[in-house]
Amino acid sequence: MQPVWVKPPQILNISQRTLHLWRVNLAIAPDDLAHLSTLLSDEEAQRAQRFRFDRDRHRFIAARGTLRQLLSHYLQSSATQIQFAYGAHGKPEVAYPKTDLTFNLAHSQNTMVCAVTQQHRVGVDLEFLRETSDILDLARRFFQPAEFAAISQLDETEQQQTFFRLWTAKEAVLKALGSGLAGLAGVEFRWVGDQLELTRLEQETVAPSKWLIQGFTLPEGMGAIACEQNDLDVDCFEWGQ
Amino acid sequence: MNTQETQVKATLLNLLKNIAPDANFEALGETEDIRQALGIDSFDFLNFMIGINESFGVEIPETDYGKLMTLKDIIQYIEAHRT
Repeated sequence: MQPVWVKPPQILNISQRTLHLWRVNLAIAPDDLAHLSTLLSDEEAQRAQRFRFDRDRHRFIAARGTLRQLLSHYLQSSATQIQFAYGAHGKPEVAYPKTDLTFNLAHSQNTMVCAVTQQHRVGVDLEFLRETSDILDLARRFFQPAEFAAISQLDETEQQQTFFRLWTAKEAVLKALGSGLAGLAGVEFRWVGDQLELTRLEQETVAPSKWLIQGFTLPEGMGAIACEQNDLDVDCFEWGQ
Repeated sequence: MNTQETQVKATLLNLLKNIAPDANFEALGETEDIRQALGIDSFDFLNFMIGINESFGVEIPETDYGKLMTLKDIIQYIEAHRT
């Protein structure tokens, strides 16, 4: 999909039938960055200090600070009071205040995307497109035989695009599950026309057909959202407009 | 760390430098989560796994990726699995 990013409403409400996808520009003015840095927890501030380059530190502060601001609108809580907990593979969730809100985020270069739902497991991935000479080798190693066969029939340009489309979809599913790359072999897709359909999901109670899989493109790259509930309306918001 | 482990570590750092040339390797602790510390994404991590396979002849099944978060994890894994 080509998302139409709109200004969010003044009051953010999210129902169980809706998924909010946010796009955030992480290249922000120094004053704004200074403010966002005041929102971070001690652990986040320490992590920010470990980056060697200002660029990476600034992106991290912008991403974490904005995430806190964004979630605070849903949670009716101040940004600094929000506490995060982390799953076995590092998937963050809101630990405080108590909430059914779920979220997942991804960033690539100066863009962050964040998916938010009520109660549903959700994952999002974003990858900037990079020229990779051995794309077929990667596909052979990490994709299922039928997926590799489908990609190998394409011309070189389409192989790159299709590889990243499939990769972001798989990564979004793995992020929704919180299982990390160890679960990669248990996720399989097929193409139905130009749409990706999830056909196999190992060690999972929700049937593959129940999952929402939605790819999207940005000038910066390619992304995908995955959610265990497939009949949601997806609203796309631009942060800070 | 013995000589062999030191050599393994040097090779791993070289692989990571090719993948994330801007990252701060001097600050990377042996027990630190590599992806978080260096800011490398999942696609780069796959390339890192391929590099380990090609450099050490160790084939790492995907189900083991979750065990390989730190330099220490990976060095021990390579030492245990290479022939």
